[in-house]
Amino acid sequence: MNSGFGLQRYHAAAAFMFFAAVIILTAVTVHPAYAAVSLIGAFFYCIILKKGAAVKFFLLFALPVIILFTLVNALSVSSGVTILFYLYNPVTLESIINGLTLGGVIAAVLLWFYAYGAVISPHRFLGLFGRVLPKTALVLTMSAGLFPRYKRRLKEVKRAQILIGKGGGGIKKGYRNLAALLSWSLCDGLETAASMRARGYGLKTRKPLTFKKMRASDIAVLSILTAFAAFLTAAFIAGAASFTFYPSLPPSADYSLFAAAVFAAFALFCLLPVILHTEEVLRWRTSLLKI
Amino acid sequence: MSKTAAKKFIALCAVTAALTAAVFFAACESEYEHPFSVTLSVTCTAAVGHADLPETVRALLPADGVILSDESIEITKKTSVLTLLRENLQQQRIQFDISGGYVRAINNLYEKQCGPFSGWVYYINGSLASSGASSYAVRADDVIEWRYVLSAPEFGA
Amino acid sequence: MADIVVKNLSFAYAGAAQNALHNISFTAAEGTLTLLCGATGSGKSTLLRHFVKELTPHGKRTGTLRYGDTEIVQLEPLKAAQKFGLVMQNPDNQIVTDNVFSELFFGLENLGFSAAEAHRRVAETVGFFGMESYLHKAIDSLSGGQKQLVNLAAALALRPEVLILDEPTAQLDPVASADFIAALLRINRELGVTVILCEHRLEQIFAHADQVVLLDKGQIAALGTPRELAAELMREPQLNKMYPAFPAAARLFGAVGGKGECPLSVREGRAFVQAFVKSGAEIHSAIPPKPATTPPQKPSVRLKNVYFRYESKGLDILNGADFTVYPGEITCILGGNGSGKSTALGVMGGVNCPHIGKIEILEKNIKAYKGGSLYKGILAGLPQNPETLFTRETARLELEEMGGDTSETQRIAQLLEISDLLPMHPLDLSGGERQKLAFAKVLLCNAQIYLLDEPLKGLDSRYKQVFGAVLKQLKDAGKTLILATHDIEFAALNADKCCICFNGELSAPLAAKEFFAGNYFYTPAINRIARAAGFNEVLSVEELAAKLRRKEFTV
Repeated sequence: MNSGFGLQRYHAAAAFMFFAAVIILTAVTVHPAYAAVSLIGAFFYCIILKKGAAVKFFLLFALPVIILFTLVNALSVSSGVTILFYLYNPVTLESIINGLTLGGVIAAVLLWFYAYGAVISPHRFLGLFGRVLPKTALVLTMSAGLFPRYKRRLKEVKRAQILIGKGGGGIKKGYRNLAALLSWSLCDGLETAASMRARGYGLKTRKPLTFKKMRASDIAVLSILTAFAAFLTAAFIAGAASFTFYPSLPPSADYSLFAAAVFAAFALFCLLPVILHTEEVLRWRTSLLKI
Repeated sequence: MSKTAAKKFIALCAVTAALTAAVFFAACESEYEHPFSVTLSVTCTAAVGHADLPETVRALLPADGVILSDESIEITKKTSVLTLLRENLQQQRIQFDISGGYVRAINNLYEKQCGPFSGWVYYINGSLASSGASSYAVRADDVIEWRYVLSAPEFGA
Repeated sequence: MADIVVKNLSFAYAGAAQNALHNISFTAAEGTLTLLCGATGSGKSTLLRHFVKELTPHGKRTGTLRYGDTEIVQLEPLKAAQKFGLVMQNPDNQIVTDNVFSELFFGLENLGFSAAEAHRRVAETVGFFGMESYLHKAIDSLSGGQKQLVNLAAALALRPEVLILDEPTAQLDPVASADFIAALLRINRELGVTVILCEHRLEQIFAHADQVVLLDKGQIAALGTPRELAAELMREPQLNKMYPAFPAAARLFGAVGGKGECPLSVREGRAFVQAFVKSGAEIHSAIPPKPATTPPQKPSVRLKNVYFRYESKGLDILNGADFTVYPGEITCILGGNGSGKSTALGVMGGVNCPHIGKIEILEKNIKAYKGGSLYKGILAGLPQNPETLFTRETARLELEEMGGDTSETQRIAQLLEISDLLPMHPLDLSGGERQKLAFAKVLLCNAQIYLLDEPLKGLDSRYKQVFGAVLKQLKDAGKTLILATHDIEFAALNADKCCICFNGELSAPLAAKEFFAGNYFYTPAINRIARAAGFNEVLSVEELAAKLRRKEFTV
């Protein structure tokens, strides 16, 4: 079942293509403006998807990364013509901007991954790849189910051990609890295997059933995204988004029309999920009003 | 330990620390009784117009290769060559990169940018110094020249 | 569709000295519901496994076990997987994926059904079970009963002709159990699927079986329709190990020496009682006897105004709970699944810390017990999952790690009838055996207060009597016993005080008779039968039989 708008609703292939492209492109970016726009796009999308939790994620992870990289770079790299102040070695503006860019790139990637988690659930992921890698897909589904169960069980083991006087901390006890969980779960695995075999697992090649057919709109969205991604990749390789920090930043007049066009395309690409999402929300709201 | 005993202990530690710091500073301020002057210059003539340099760095170098012309500096306390360089460059707002007692760059001209053996060295009174820049304390009337060389010349040349 | 015919089946596990099954012969006709029952170790699980090709145990086998005209072991694997569905005891372990939707598709994917066909079948199955509301939920968030229904649905999606079930309701509470059996009966009656299941708890299923096979030590001790079996066995109750498991109505029939058809369900039991009573004089409803006043004692466990929740944004599981328990008594906390019984025990045991409220153990604030001293001889707890206690290679080592000398270990092992289980690995034991071992470990803690969370899971009815006797011994020695359970029958027979956990609060513990007399349906079956004659406070078959025989009517 689908819930949500925009990328959450289209075929998982479109969403997957987008995230793969934007994450790779962002990761190879060295240009501060590109990093900034990717970060902004990612942040806005995360907020739309997860609201308060996204802000928390940003403050807890993304922002510290940016600050950390900026500080480390400013203090360790002293190249650059614009000296701001001296802290044993000079701290230059170029170095700070470099740090900001690095931090921004990593923060943007983090936020895109965060958004990915909200858009492509494990189930959708399997629907996409199940046919290609059926065994892996099944293992992933099983793990997704087992992980919360084992977390819960470990807590139970700890509590049970306390209640017979074998509680308390220490590595030895922790190890013993883990061992108890392990043997218990392995034993249960035997029953699961029996249940699977009784339902015919392993008899023929398993044919995972993907339930999403690609509709015309899905194909359209996928094509647009692929076109964007291809164009941007080519442009990047051609050096349209290159940047040098040291010893001085490139003068602003240095940008060709082509470079500006590539930047605009990248910005649009990063904002695409937000646009798709918001557009659909508005359409849905107005359609409700029409009733 | 009771609360009052802990308080006393902390007070004792604080007093000891303060006294130690005072003694330390006093020792550092080993002022010279008779201040003298030395001359400092920084040149990179060998690097000017070098083919290996990126365009942006080449544009930064002064045409005559003189980054810091002979400066007469008054020395009042024990100073190493490195400290001398650093303080003066800082005063003139010139970029440098010094790590671990070693000069990696001055004015955005980094070592190894003009060949694998290029870098910054200093000469005392015309001859290449043999000790590290942070261990040589300047003496009266020393002529200190920091030069960017393309390869490390023989010591004592 | 075909009959399943078992003829002269004998089986011994590889390397075992004795046969697990001797000369078993019976037929499960197509579309019927066959109930296999027997005490632990009678071989019913072993026999059941023979019906599923994939689970057939290895060993020496003679005799035949046919589905139609093919030996089950020789069935084509594809046919075997498709025609035979399996549901086992533990709801968690049979589930493969992380959500209900995929789980239902799992078998269909394995057998290579097309997307369209699979889609249709799953839609049908979901409709039949009414599962729409939790179809897309994560499986870990479902209750045990819901999970077991998912397992049943997943098996049914393959449209099997035979369903094999191994104690499917053993881990479920009575309500979930009733739901499951209702669904199973629908499948049998409306779809004509042959059902073979084995069960310990017969009250809910016995009357509905077409055929009952009673096993004892690997042999068929009795075979026939439920009514035939009941009538035959009620005549000689002492010879039947399974006697306590039989429906209360049947036991009552036997106890009063009834004639004619043996009643099996509560309804039939009530009719029987009324007919029996009509032949006598008029009746008056007995007034519940006043509970004997015990001299005031110091409470051993006390909860005052306890509020507890697991998650900061969640609901309060315990909502201002007040609760007092005294030593030398067995107190049962009853309540449905998820009502908070386990949480309450956790609070008493000091593993759940409430944000508001006070807990007193032996009149001392629980927080005053520092550094684990609470668990050294004061308090011990039996967890819901016995596996959480097992960390060693053999049962003997498990008991020995509790400290105490070998004579103590041996005494407890004998008391709980697990002496011959000692050399085995704890996880090689069956569910009921694990429960016994876990309880033995807890007993070796030599505590004053015992908190037992669902200690009766997987125990057969005969053992429950042993267990009840052990508890009585402990109680007489002045220990405090607090049980959280949904086994009303056991509570009715063994508890001194009962209370119910509901809406975050624990009701004040009442004497068992008073408690059940005041309830309408939360009572053991025999009580509901007894009300037909106006005896609202009767809690055991023996009691009611005595009253009927003596034609006791006034107080």
